[in-house]
Amino acid sequence: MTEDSTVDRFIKETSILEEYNINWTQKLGAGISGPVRVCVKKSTQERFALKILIDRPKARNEVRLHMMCASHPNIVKIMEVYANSVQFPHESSPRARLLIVMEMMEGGELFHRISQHKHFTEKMASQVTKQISLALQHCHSLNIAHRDLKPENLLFKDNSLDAPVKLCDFGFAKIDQGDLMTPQFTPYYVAPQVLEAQRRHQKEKSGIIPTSPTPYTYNKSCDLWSLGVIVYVMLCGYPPFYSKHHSRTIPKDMRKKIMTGSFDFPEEEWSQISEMAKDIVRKLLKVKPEERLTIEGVLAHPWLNCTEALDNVLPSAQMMMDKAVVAGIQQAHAEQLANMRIQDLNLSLKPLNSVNNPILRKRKLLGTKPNDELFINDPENEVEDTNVALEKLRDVIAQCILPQAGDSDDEKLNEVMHEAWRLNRDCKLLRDGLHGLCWDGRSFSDRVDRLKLAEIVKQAIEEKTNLQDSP
Amino acid sequence: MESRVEFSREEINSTVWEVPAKYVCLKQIGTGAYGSVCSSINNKTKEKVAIKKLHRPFQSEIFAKRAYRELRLLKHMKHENVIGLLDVFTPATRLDEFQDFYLVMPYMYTDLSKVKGLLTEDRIQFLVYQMLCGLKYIHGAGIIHRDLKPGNLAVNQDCELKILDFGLARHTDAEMTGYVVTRWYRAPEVILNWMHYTQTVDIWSVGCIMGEMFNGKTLFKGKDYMDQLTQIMKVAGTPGPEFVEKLESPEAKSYVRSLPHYPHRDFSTLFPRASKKAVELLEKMLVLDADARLTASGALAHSYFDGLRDPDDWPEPTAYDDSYDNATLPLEEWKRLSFKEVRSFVPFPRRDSKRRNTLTMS
Repeated sequence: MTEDSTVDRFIKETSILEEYNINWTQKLGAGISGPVRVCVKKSTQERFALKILIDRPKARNEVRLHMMCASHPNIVKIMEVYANSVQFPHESSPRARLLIVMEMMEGGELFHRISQHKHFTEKMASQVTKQISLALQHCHSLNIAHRDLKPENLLFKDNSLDAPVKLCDFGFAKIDQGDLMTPQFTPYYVAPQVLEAQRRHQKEKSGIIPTSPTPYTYNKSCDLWSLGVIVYVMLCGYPPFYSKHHSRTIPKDMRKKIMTGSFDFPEEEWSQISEMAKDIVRKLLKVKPEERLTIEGVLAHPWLNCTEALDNVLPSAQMMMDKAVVAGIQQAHAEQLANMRIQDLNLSLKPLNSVNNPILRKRKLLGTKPNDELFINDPENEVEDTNVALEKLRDVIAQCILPQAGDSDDEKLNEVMHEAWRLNRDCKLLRDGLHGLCWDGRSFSDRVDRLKLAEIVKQAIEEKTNLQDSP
Repeated sequence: MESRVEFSREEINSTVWEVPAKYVCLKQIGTGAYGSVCSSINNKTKEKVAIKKLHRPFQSEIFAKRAYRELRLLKHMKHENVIGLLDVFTPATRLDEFQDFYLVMPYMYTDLSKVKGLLTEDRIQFLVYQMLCGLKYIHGAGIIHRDLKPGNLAVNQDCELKILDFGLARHTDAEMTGYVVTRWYRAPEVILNWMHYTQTVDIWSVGCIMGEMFNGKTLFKGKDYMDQLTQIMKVAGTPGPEFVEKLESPEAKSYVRSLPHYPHRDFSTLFPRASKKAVELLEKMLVLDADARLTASGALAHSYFDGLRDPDDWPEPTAYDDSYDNATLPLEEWKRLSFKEVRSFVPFPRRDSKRRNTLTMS
């Protein structure tokens, strides 16, 4: 049974209106991505949050991953999911949508909660951090990276003092396949205890030393960076990576500060905050993912397990009274997360004779022949072979001057040299030069002086080029 | 009164995108301090495009002026090797509703800094040719880029190249300190503020980029200001007395005189993969004296490009009117000017217009 079919079977095809009344005009909590409304279960009159997504693979993935995680007390519960056609007033026709019924979170967002709490203490910040960390631990143990851990996605159950904080919105969550040593995914109904036992068994079976750290892949570590920012803001009321005297605008140098991990603890706010708190922040806000704390490291940190009284009132509540300040913090954080999620798009350029390029295409249409065939590959022209031969020689030089990375470099050099040799055997200068370097026609029998080789090949290229230029 | 285009509304990563219905499959591909960028498909032309939405362009006079300048510059650029606008729109129909505008540009898969592997000479030659064609156009319009580097050169698999982000970057001094990418492509006269610099600062950058493509690594990777200059001197050689006399500032004069003597490096040894003509061109671009350095036109006239050169690649640019660029205006005036620019947009016919997207993932 695959996870996909499991999710699809859980999704109801009947109309949501059979069981729920929907309040279409009442929107919940600013900041939650995707419109979320109130719905009421007819049989019990219980209120729930209803999130509506256009039905497509990304939305189904969101539902699947959220359901896999939702059994944890610090993650928002999914009650039911419907696949219905819904037409909003501004639309000309109905669209297939997923309607996700979730538990109602009535205690508001994290930063709003802090701003309401006049005496928000370091101990309270530690307790909130622990709950967030437990939610993350649950996700990561299932090899799921949340990848959108931000204040708007951390909601309190209700307004009571000891209300739990819960993680929501799995729109960017991703299965992180990199960690090969955790158990395969299991049905979403399995209890956490079973997963933990299975994980322990898996570790014992493979002979992993219990204390050795599991390699932590990038996507999960992204969540740890986010946690570091959130803890920093909770403690002092402004984000790391720019000064406390910020304005609404995001300074130009913020990005650079983030990329270099450049932050500090300004004396005015941080002098009364404990060293343990600073320590956990430092260990989370490492630029290199491999240097960052893991979620297990967070949960084991003294700051989260301290019996010492941390009753100092934090300055953050006062700072967060300013809604513009909070909005600026949230925007900066969301932007950084988006950047971290965007993959680098590496590219290989096609050979010129196979590109679809307007400039070169125009040349062909006009029948204009390039005057110097040395630089433009023309498959109908015999010079192509010569170009390839010269190119192979230049590759040898490239191999000689590139920094030597490892033991296979000699093998690589022999390979490249052999390619060039096949196409340039007619060059006497090259033949004689290689003989002096113990080239046997296939490889160098002795360790070769790369600078000398590069010089010989360069002279061969010059000789060939001169021969072409002169007629 | 024109008929109103149908707009569709979508929330992507907490940002509301309200775009004409013909733009479908929006997917975020970038975000920064000033805006977000999505890739999209133009359903009518089947072309893949990049749509940029500025964040709150009218929240302050500084932001409004920057947004206006970007809009004006992009509207002005009508050359295949310079990024320009395919479209610009706002959902607002009246000035008092005007809060956002969106810039639509060709989708270029990525930039030169992410091109994998060592490039063959024919591709290097073709890319440099396109850089110079684009620069000739920009310089002819009276604009200097100032910040050419691989990250500002958009490319796709078909070896198409477009110059990005020109005329806007004004890096602060602080951003030039330390080990930073931007400084590696800076002309020496900019680094030391030797003189009022000219368009040939961009040619120095092209030389650095061209050399990097041949060697597979950064040419002048300075770890600070002084190290950058030292590395440049070790290649270009310390300048002679005639050059020193041209320097305007006494501090620059005494600094250059204090340098140890470095001979001019043999460029054919420095760039062993480059052909003789390529080396010759590099020598004329990486010249310390900005007055002696090649211009974009001069570089294009070099025999290295004999097989590629076509005057049709150099349409005559219109001079860019920068009368507002340094003006101090109230916020509402910037807003009115921007609204006027959005409404007056007319797309220019491109040689590759309506060409279907042929990109394939490598």
